[in-house]
Amino acid sequence: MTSADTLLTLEMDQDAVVAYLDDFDGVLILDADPGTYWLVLHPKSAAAETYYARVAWQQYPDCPPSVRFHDRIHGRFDVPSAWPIVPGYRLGAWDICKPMTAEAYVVHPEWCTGPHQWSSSGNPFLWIAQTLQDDLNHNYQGRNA
Amino acid sequence: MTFEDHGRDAAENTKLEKLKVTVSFPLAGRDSFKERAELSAPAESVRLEAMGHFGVSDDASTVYYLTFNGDRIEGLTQIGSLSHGRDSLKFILSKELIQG
Repeated sequence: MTSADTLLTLEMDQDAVVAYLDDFDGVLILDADPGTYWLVLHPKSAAAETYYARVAWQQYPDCPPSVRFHDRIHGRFDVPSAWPIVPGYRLGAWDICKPMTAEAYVVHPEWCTGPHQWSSSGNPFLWIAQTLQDDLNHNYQGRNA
Repeated sequence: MTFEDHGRDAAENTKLEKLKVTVSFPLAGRDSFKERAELSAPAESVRLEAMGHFGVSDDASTVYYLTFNGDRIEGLTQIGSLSHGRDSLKFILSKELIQG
């Protein structure tokens, strides 16, 4: 159950995400499930390619979100072609193994303390969006087959 | 060219020697970093000053870098080369994460 505080804080922070994504022809879509969003993203070097990242917040801004690419909005994540080839984006595990996702902190509990611990300051939603877009802009190696 | 023309040109050149630079960092719990920087200033100096403003630093596992229009900006880039006649530049400070 997503709290009212979480939803209120997300509502305050999401406008900056919309503005940022717009610079890259990306879109932010609210899901019917409270706290869940779809980011429609394009790599700068391959603007015709479209990726759908589902970002689901349980407790915002205090905990990292689940982040998974899907083959379409409300589609499946366990489809290789839904995922961009980017270091740390793992097929099979279907996760982004970086200290920014709920999935990664399960795999690496040692990240929960120290330099990789989750930061709830500022606008973490914008940071997640920027990190995904930065990965597509700078670390993108194509689409998985 | 009159003496006044020389004076006006000199004033405009002086204005153009500096850019209004803004650096935002989404994880900062504070306002953006703002300064007026020389056209010849390397991006690295802007990065370091912005990191100081936001209270973050590189370490063995984390590196911060500037992006401009989605492009990663190398440290030796002179910021004037990015301006294309504009008098202001907006950067984003990004945090590079290691993978698991």
